[in-house]
Amino acid sequence: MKNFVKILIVFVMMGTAVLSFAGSAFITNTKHNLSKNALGVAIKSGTETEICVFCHIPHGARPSVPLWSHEMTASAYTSGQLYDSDYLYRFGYNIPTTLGSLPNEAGYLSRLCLSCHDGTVALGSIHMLRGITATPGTPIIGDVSGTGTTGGYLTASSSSFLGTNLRDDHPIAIEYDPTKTKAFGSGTRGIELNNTAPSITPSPYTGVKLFKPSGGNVKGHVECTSCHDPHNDTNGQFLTAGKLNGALCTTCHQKVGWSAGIHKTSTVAIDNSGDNSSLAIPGSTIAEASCLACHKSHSGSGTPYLLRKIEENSCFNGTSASCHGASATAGNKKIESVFTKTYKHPATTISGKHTNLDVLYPTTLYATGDTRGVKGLGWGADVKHSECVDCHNPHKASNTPARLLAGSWYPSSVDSTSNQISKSGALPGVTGIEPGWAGTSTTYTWVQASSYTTYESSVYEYQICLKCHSSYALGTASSTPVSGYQSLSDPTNVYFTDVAWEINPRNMSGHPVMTGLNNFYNSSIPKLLTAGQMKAPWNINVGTQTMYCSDCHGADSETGTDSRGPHASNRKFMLKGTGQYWPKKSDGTTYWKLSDWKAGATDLFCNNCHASSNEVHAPTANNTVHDNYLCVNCHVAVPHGAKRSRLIGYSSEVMPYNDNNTNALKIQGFRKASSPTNYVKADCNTSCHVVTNPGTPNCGGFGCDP
Amino acid sequence: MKVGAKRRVLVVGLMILSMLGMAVVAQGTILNSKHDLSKSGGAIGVCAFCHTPHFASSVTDVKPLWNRALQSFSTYSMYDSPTFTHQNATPSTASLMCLGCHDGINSAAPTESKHVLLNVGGSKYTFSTNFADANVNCNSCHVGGTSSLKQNLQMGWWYNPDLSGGAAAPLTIPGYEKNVINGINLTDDHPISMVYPSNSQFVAAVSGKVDTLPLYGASKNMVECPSCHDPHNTTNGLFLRKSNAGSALCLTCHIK
Repeated sequence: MKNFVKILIVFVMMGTAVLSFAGSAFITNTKHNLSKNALGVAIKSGTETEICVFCHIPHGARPSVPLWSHEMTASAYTSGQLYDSDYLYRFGYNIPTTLGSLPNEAGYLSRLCLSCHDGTVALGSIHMLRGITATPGTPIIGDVSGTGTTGGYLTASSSSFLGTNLRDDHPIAIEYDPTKTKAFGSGTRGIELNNTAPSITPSPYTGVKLFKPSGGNVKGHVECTSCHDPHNDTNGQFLTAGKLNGALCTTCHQKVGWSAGIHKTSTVAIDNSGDNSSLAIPGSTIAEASCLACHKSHSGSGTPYLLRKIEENSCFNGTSASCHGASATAGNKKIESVFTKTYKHPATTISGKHTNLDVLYPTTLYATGDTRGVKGLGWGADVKHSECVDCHNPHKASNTPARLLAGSWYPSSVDSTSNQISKSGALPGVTGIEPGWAGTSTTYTWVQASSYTTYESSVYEYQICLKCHSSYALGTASSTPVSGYQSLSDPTNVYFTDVAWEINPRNMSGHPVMTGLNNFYNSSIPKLLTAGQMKAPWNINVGTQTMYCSDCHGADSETGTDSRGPHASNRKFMLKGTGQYWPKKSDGTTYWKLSDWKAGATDLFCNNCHASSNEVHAPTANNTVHDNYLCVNCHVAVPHGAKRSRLIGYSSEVMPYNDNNTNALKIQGFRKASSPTNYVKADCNTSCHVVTNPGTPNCGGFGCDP
Repeated sequence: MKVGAKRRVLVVGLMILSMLGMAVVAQGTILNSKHDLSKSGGAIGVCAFCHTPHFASSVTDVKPLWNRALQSFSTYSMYDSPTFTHQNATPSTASLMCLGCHDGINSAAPTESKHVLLNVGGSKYTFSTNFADANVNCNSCHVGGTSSLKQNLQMGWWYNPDLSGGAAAPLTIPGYEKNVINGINLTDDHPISMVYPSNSQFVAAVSGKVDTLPLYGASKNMVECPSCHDPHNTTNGLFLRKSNAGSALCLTCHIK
């Protein structure tokens, strides 16, 4: 008898184990059990005991597949109510314009689900109940109710309510086409879908799957049931694969570089508190949340791209300590608070203008006849924008390599590769442009780029910046890098110039952004400054060293609390470094003078990298006569590059090179000396001292600047 | 025998008795069911509408002394879905016998008419078509006083509210109520004449049965009408072989 009891207990335990396992997978214990006896389910009938009957009927089904019995939604689901994006459009992806209503049409299977989930048909509206035909429009199971329903209909208070506008929901009725590509001038971007597509209606009917409408389209299509199995809630939310680590999403979506990126590897804890409590981001770390840290497959605020929030707010993520918002932990790149500064890229101030792949559409924007509006790259009020994703690729970005060491304004050492994207983990996979000039001759000095090559992934940092800061987006200028752009000037009185024009290595002088000074074709010897004229780290590899735009432009407190990079700054032109003022002092009115330079003024921007000893400006030099002359009496006020050697500007220059149209520039002719200490009066023709025709072929020396 | 053992025997015995009692007492037989097409006092017995002890159908596999000719439609449209493709172009005889009435379509061949029995009283019997046949309850199949068939016995048509005499359903999506269907349309009915699947989404069959539901065919592995329906028993309603409360009938096979 004792043994009998023992055996009985074991048997009961086994039975319980089997039941509980089955229970997790069976519809019986899910929210899709709307029957009276469903356990722990909020929405259910007060009388009906059958489970399958809410959706299926074995005879007289309509539509017949899959033996459907629920009254169908009559919602139109036309274009504009379905997911759409510039990205898909520009890829030439076949974007659905409606949800099919026949079994052989794409979208039909999703309509089955929507017949409850769009809220237009009552949950209990089935065609027939045990042989009794329903009166159309009157739910034959009339007592389905619970939180999230009103009058038997699913309402917006239910998280499963999708409504009749599916723009904020993952596309359905859409074909799976991993072959789609978009060609750039350099490189090609794929649609980043797994080349091995999920099975089309596999048997057994499990996992992520596709469906093939019989209407001649050979491709598998995504429907609701690709990601959801309405009968199986093992993974939660009836998902066909788990959410953690992006398992479900990455079955199809294979973002290049994703697996090594910081957003896939970060162990930073997810903070779902505060205004994020409703987001229910899964997992305990960013890596576990993976795709779902930023994206929401349904009903996110940010459309398109299924973002949880609108544009940059997806990155900031409200009060979350995990992301890039004002409440972020400092180590997590606290970006939002930087954008409170005065001078900034308009990520937070301009919305709704960014479009994906806009770099390919600087002016012509969309295909002829497309009615989506005019959005691309440009400075007009209709297109001007700068969002996080214009400079960062969140699917590829990483925290390594860090180009700058903590507490440092500059890299620890520089060489010919210092302008490359590969130096910064924050910048891979971002589109860009490379300006082109037809040759190396003087013909191409100080002119607008004659061509631009689009890059799928920028190789150099400047390629990202030039997307906007060049004639590529500014439009064609006539004679100077600012001609025609004045109207675009910022309210903060910052002139926008064609920086590609300025950093062209065919110019006679400039900063080594595109290439080292030795490669400046039209620069007269000596092309480079001596090491003694430079401060660390810029005193090594002079002539071959290159730099980022963001070595000069960035946040004013990059070495302190601010996240690095030219997001925003309290300094005009976002000048960064120990000295942050140019061409005027911190008072905003007084121009820097040679005497300031000789005194080693630490506020003076140029002083960050350029040494004031051992050259023409040196305190020991016999140049006291120049002490009260302004820096901008000789040098262009926008020192990216210049038509003349050593960033000298002639009095014929226009604003903003000739600063503030005050006729600041005095020089009319200039000749570069053989060394920084060899300058003589004759090298400089000014209104103060005239020398013999320095700007003509008769000036008598090498390198007389035209 | 100990007292406890005695008590166990008693309890088990009572349980068996009560189960038997349920089967016997319940109003579960064909008598007065919808399958009883006889008219009180009519000459044709209840069974004769389907069965005959002599001169039964000689069609191979038509075992239960069938009193009707199998209809010989050449074309059927069988249920297909993205996950299921029909295996036979026509139903097997086990289902064809049911469809002989339930396809809802009168054969062009007079001998196959639904109004013809092979043998009643030693001769072929044809029902009167004037709705006044003394021996047949016409209303069993027809909406009273009309030639319209009762909607829920027609498996061969797409459901069409007009046939039921009811209000037209608000089918605003074109195509749901009609489709181009060849021959007898079984596309809106649970698949039949299909091999019972053997995979993780179906309860395994044991000895030609899934729980108590029988499979048919030479290998006893085919799902047919009588897998779910027992035409002689109304205990569970709709001639179901077991109660579908809690969708128990569906879940006998389907692991969902």
